[in-house]
Amino acid sequence: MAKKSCILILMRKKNKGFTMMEVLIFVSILSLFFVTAAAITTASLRNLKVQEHKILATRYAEELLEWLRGEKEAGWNTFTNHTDTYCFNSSPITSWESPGNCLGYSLNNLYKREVTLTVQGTPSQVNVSITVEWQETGNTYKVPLNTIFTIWE
Amino acid sequence: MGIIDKSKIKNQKSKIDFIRKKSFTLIEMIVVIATIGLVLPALFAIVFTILQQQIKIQRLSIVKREGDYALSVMENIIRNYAVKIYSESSFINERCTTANSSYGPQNGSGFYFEDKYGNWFNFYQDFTNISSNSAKLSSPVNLNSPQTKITDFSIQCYRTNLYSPPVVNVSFKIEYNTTSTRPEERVTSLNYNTKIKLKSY
Repeated sequence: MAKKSCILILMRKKNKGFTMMEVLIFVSILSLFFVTAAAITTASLRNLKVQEHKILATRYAEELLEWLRGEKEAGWNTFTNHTDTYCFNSSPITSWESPGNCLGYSLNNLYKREVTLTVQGTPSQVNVSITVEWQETGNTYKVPLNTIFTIWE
Repeated sequence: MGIIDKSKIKNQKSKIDFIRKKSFTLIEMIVVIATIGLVLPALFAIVFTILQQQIKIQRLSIVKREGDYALSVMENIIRNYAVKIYSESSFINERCTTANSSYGPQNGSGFYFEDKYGNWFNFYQDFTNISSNSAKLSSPVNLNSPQTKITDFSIQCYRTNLYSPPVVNVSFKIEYNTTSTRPEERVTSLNYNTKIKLKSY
């Protein structure tokens, strides 16, 4: 009787903890879960940052479009003299820049803003193609904005 | 007899061992608390960064939406209705009538448009707001909410020669209205600027 209870207690004592295998499986599943959660979180954070930069980039593109429309309103002939690619890496825009592509991402230390103007007709129409570009985490993002200015409006 | 006695002692001993093993040791507790102490701050830091970023985006989109709205309202009303520019709502002192003339008072106060029906309307900066008023309104209407703040509002007209109508230049800066000076809570101010030719002049 006493021997039996002794063996029972010994067995209980042996069975009390988890085995090494159980702990390993549990920890690996848990770590897998945590790694996935961390990956999703960082991806979403990066995505949020890109969204913020996209809002600003859209604003910069629209700013240039509004300024160009203003130049067009102020004088059609002076406006159509500009047929090239221009880089407007400063905000607010004050005057025409000299023709040529942007040398770097200096607008707000992140973006580069270019516009290509192509004249059609006598000239009666100008095709405006604005691109705001920036680089982030190895990717290049672009916000294009295209429109047409005509003399009849 | 002797054997029974021995097993009895063993029995007693393991019983005591069993009872003592039931609680955690100090080392175990320290390890667990240290792990929790490492994981929790990291977790809170991530959650905090995400919340901050979301607030930033929300504020930026509010600022952009209100700026876009204010500019489009002013642009459309001036483009479609403005005929002449005066410095008084009683239509005396017409401005921008001669070649190479320009007029641009501070904050837009004293810059009145006459529409094609002979009524006046104007846009001016009222503290942190752009206000729109006209002869048909009983009180001025703000074009932006108290959530945003307008700075450097300017409305001016100029005329290069007598054969082209005056051009109105509207520009302002808009930013999120917060008293906080912390850089992560502030949103970059956005510039708005456009020119409108008075077609009905």
